[in-house]
Amino acid sequence: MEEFRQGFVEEALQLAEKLETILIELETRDTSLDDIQDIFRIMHTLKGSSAMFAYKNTEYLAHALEDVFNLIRNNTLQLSPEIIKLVFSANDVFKDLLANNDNVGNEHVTNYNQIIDKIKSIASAVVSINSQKGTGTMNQAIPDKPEKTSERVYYILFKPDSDVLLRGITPISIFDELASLGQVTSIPCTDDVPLPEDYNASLFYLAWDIFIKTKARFDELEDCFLFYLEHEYKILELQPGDPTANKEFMASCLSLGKGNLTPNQLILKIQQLTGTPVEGTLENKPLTRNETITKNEERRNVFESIKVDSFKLDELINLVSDLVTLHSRLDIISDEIKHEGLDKSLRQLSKLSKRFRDNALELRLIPVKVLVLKMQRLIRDLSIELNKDVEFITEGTNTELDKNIISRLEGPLLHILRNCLDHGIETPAERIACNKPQKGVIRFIAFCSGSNVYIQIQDDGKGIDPEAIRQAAIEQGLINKNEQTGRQETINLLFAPGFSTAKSITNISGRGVGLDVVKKEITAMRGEIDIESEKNLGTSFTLKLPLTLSIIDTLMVLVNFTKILIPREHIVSTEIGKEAELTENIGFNGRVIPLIKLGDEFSEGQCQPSGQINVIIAQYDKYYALKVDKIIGEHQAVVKPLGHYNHNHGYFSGASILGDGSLAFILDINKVISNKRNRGNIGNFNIK
Amino acid sequence: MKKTILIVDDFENTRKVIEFSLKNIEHQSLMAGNGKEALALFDGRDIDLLITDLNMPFMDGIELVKNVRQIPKYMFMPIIMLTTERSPEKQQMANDVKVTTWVQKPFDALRFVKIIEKCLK
Repeated sequence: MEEFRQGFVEEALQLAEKLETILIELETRDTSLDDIQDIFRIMHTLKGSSAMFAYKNTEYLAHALEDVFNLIRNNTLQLSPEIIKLVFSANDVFKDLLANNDNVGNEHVTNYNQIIDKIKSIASAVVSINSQKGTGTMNQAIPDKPEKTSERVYYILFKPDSDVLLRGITPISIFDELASLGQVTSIPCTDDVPLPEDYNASLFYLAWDIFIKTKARFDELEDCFLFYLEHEYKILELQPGDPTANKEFMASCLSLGKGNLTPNQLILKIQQLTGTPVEGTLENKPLTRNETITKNEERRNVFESIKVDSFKLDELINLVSDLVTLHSRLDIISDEIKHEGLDKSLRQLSKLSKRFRDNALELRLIPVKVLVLKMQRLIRDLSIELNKDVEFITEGTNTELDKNIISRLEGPLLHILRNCLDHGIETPAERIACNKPQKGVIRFIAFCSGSNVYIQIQDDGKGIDPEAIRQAAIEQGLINKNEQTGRQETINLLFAPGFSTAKSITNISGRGVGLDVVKKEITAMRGEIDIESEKNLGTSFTLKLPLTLSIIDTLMVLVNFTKILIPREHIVSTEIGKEAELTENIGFNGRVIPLIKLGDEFSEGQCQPSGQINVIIAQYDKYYALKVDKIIGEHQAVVKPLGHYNHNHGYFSGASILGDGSLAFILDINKVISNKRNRGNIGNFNIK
Repeated sequence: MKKTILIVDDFENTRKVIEFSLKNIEHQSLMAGNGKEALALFDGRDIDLLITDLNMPFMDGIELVKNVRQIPKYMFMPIIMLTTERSPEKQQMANDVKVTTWVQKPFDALRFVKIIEKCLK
């Protein structure tokens, strides 16, 4: 059963997280009924599932909160900042409980009890006020209208199909259930019972007209009829008043339903009999079962979005990929046939499939907001642990990114944040000494530009001291003592594998996993990471990420008669190379930039390139020229992984199937540059 | 007296989940991995409730219910069809072979238990 418990804990933690999101939002804007409904529902679910797994304490707390939110939902209680605060702390307790098998640790017992007491006192305060109100009105003897929660009378026509017994149902038991809800008056109808010789004991012949006086809601009544088919029962709510008190009416009821009337006819009939209009006339007939269902469904649509298995989305993307591939194949065929009608249709198809592709990819996009919660929590907890006073400001959290990227981004982002808090932000005393406001600021900024999303994490801490990094790098043997490094280069040493400036390894960062791992993870997603820092002013990390990983725009080029795809996001421009074969660098926009001859790279210089086009690419604001033989054209590449065996290939990040069924490899710019650099052919930086 | 509940599903995990959600109901349970296995268990012993999946190898839920209903002893036994299937046609088929009720997977455990208690009453 352990696996189910795990599942429950996971699901419950998700609920707690959702609750936290709502609460954080509530602190910044006005409450809406939806929020209350959502919180109520979360508590309800939490209560139910923790009861199932015998998480008594969790259940108790959820139950108490459910009660409070039920009161708020019914407008009996106003949601106040105090309540929000209370729910915040209750949510922490939930997480604790869930993480510790429902055990309230010794250190938390008082906390837990206090929270429960507070919640209880809120709920009971309201109840006592209400009961006081109740007596008050009694004393003043104001004849008031029945309240919403007061008793209502429902009419139920109950006519099970004759095979109901054969479906394993005992119809008579419905009366026990109804009786548990209120006062039941029923009139049996025996008209269909056959003569003894025709009587079949396994069939059912009875029907009833039922009147029930109850406080129960419509859906509670409907629940009693769970096993019955739609046409076997009808529930109608009658106007306030009790027709069952009227003997004459009851007598005339014997001619009521018998199951052969439509709901509308029934309503008319009851109207005639009672003389009072039934709620829900012919024009607005909200009481038939079908109507209620659609209403419920509408409500559901308003409150919830659809949850789709991410596997299904992946499958959809795969299908879209195949469509894109097939489309380019059709393009080739159409080029050969040259049929005007076909051409035109293909152009339309091209537009359509492009939109289809974009839409499908968009489905996988989720706002970076989902990461914010974890970050907020980390900062809150760490700043307490480190005795630092930090404000976390977020901007552009609605910016969307592919779900796969978001899930891979969490680790790196949290790591960067830990760095900011641990190394960046100073203690309040240090900050005051530096004439800075006591409270440090960490900013999370996300924005979209072109087909990339940028995420910046900035702190206004002490910044990075290049000299200290240089010294540390020399000590750790990462650079030579005599080697000159520029300011930015020095800062970039932070990304070097194994680099660490933490003199003492703190609990928070410096566990041996450094920024190099962050960089590796980001580049693995075809992203880039950059640090800017000014001493005493702060540090800023900038992450540049592709919107999606599965389909990219590329430029198809020919190298050694092989088709290679270069991701377009890196390409700055193309030009016809004039330089002689042997040059290692070329001029571009007034700078000297390295020239990487792809032909030589792939074949160790054994093949004579037949053309000379230079594709200028940019990586981290630095330019490189790639020498290729020929440019073929643009290609929408559906990225397929290279598979296990080629995983560590030196130049390519994936492959794409072309229209004619052949394969082309997608160039991994980062790998090409680092390969070249490792062989010492490129200096560490551009000469300006 | 202890009630006997027969749980039929081709996934062991699902059977376990169902069994687990029944833990507050006093009962003994029987398990079967498909309709054929399940049908063999209707050998005259007392079975108070059948909970079956719809889509299963060898014999599906509909066929199972159809066969079980033909055995006089189990003619009035409650049957819950617990399935991910959503198509109205299948639901109609289930009604035609006279299942007691239809529960959509994934199911809400509390509600599911309520339904079962209702069936066992």
